[in-house]
Amino acid sequence: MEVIKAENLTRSYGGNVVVDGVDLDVRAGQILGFVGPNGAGKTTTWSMLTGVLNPTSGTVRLLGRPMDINDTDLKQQLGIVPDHSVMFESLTGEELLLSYARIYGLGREDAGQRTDEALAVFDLEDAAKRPITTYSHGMRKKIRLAAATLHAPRVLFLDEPFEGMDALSARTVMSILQQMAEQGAAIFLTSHMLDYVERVSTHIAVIRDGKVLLSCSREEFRELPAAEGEDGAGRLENLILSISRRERFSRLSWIGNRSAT
Amino acid sequence: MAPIGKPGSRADLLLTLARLVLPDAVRRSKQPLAVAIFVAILFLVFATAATLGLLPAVFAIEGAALRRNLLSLIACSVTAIALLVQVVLRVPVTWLLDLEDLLRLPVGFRDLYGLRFALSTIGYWLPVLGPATVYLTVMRSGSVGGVPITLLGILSLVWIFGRAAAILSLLVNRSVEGKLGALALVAITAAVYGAILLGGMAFGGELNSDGIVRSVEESAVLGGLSYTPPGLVAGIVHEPGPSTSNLAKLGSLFATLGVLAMLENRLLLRGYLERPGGDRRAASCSLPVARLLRKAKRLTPTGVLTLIEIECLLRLKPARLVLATVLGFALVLIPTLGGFALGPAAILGVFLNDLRVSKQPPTCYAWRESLTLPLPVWRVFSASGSAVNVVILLLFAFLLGLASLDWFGWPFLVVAICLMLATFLMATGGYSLMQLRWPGRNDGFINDLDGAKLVAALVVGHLMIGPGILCAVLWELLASQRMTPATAALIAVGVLLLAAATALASRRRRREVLQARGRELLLKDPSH
Repeated sequence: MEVIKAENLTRSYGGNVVVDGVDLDVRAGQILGFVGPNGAGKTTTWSMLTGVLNPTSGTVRLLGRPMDINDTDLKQQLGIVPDHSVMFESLTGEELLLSYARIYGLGREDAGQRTDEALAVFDLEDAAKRPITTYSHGMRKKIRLAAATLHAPRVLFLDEPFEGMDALSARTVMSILQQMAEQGAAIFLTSHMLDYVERVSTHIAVIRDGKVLLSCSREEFRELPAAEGEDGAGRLENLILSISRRERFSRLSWIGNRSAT
Repeated sequence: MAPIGKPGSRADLLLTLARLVLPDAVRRSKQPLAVAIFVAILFLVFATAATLGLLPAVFAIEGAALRRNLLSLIACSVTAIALLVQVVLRVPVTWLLDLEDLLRLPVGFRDLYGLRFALSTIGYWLPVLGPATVYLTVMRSGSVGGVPITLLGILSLVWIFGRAAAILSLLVNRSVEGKLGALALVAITAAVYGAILLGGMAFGGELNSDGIVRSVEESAVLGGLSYTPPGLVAGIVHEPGPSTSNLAKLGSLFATLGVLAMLENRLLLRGYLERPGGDRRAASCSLPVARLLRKAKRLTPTGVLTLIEIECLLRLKPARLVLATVLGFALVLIPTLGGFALGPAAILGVFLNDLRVSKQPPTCYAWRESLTLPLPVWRVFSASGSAVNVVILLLFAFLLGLASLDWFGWPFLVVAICLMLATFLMATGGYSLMQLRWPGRNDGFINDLDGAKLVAALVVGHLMIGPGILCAVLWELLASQRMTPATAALIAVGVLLLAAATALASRRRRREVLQARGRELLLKDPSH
């Protein structure tokens, strides 16, 4: 079943086309890693898929229904983890999770149980009673992720989920995402942590200058011929490097001069 | 958290969100919750006292026309002032529509919009207008049948107020610059002045001027105001009960509400619905001087000096106090309703005084800061300590408002004006000079033990209150007829000239310093 479907998605600001005719198709059980260089249009696409930005043209359908910001029944089945800060930072981590559980319609008992479990899995038990303002960047990411997964959403959108996380936490997150996909959830994630994306995604799409250059399964991706001069780094990283319009090994002239002298 | 209702229901969702948004709003205001509650309770106490003092007195007036017009006047004034204050203070409406985060939750745009506007418009006024609503519903419904009519009338007025505030906020949703920031102060002052006036009238018991009574009674304007929404509600409580005329008034209120709701939804809100994530720009205002500085391409030493002097008055706490005192003197001289004028003067003074209460910056630092950090309007009201000071001053002004002061007479007016100007000149001269001598950040005398600075501050501070003390002494001598008005005026003019000479000398010295050290002095990093 097509869970996330975008057709000819376009967004422009004035005359500047930021996302240009993007087609996406994520089915139940799939994790799509959406990657690209800075300014490629990842977050804009992500914002349109999650409904907080209206496309200039094109359509987004989630779970077979058109994405409408006022469709609360549809949004009840989504989990969204934005890149920026957590809402309601004056609350403690525990209060935030209990409130989210309430908002997503969980009963009191379920809410308490899932909150405790999520705090334990994301290693936030010690910080549970502290205001979120005191959390580190990685901890905020984790509490946001915990809040977005409490109601076991059928569709999960993540923007830079691994940013600021230590290796253990990143591994936990990857494991949870894989479990959710196995249970039939469709997951759309954008990230610059290409190694993690390559490991966790079942499918990969690469965007540059608002256009999707490549969209395939992980297996198909690995079968692609190696790029010229490819070193030991990950395939995805090499691909992003090769499509970036910059010198691969840049250097600062004055630093070069200093070392020369 | 205790459960509210059925989990997942719309009502439960909105209530849960309201409970989340409220502490968030309190946190954004940077006001400790305890202070916010304290202020709300005090407003409630003031509002209850004013309601119980004023409304029964108005309803006790025998003349029906006077009573009706007075009610219309009160209702329209309160609504207009509340609307003005609401719109001016809520101009950064981007916050209301910056719903991107909240929109990711399973809740619709209109629900969130309504919730935010409800919390940020009606919520603020509950402690202020709530007691009057309860009084009118309980005491001015006529009969049990009249209760729903009165209540519906008041509620529809509240709703109309909310819609009108929303429409005006949407219309003026843009970055606010200095003029509106200043207007916010004036609006607040006007609002508090109105409240004090009404409270004073209530406790004074009667309008003691036949001319005013007649003009209120026969005013065509006030007659016309009775057809406005607040006037219609005043009409309902004036002659309460389930009469045809009251039902017609209620129908008019509903019709107005419908038109406003349609206007808001169709014409204005639709524009925002097109971009549900909202405009994330933070609207803010800056002080006029800071704006001038930012736009100035070339600043002469004299120009800089003038700006410093203005900054001194606006930003330095003691100087602002002096300015407040000056305003207090000025307004109390207006021979209108006795001491009422003292109230707004005191309130205006406190706002000026608390404008940067948490900073204590010398001008150079303040100027540098103002170039980089525009001052949001709401900071004026959220600076630490300001809330408590406002309450104290409100109480002070309220008590003063009850007193009736006599006209001072023209000779003393001249004396007082001269001394006010002298105070002003000394304040600017003294503190401006101090800023150039000690341009670093002022961390307080405990942390910054500089003897010369301490002495200078003490001398300048006492110099400034000199004219005020002299003013009081002269008033006493005049009142006891131990001094002729001419002598008093002569003394005052002498003090003024002395102050002017001091200020000129100070200005010359400051100009030299500026020419020698230039603008880098003013933009110097305060941490060094």
